[in-house]
Amino acid sequence: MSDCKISNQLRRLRFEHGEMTQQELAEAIGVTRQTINAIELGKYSPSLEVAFKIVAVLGVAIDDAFRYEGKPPRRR
Amino acid sequence: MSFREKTAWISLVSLLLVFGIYFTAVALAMAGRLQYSQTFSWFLHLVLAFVVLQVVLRLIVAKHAPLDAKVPADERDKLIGLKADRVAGYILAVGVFVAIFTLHLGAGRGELAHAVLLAFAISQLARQAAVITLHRRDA
Repeated sequence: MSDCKISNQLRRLRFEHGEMTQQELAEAIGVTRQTINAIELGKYSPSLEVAFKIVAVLGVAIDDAFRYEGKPPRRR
Repeated sequence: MSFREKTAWISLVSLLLVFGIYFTAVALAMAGRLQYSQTFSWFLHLVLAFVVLQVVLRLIVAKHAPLDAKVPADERDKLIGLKADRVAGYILAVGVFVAIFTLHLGAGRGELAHAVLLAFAISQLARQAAVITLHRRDA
């Protein structure tokens, strides 16, 4: 779970969204506060479903919140 | 500390207590200081004690953090559970093979049963320890 290659801007976006707390975001999307914390710290990559729920609550596009930092896959 | 981590601690401590007492009784029986047939009675009482301990301690934790207790397991909790199950599965498999080898060392059916139970106990302790470790490492 800690080999996460997806960076995120959740902490900044939460504050820009009315200083929303981790607990409020967690309750809005149906996960625990610890899961939001692990995502923010880059220790856990959320599923697509949770990622889309997060950006829906924060009112931003998916690539404003999450970015893939690994090497692009090689084309065959 | 999350509700899931607290319940894992409860399970870890309960398992340590119950299996610790049980295998002490088994060791006493093997040393001839307790009748072997009595260990079965100990086993039944300790299973009951384990269930009561789990229910009471979980109710106490839930009472202190009712909101956390109501939140169902999310995808990360489930992933941690699956990883911990895998750890427990490997340990149980190795433990059962080791237990079967005790037959070749002259162990009887009783000893074999206890060796399998010991493997199960260690696998469950490892499961709870893995849940706690994964919660702490990634939180």
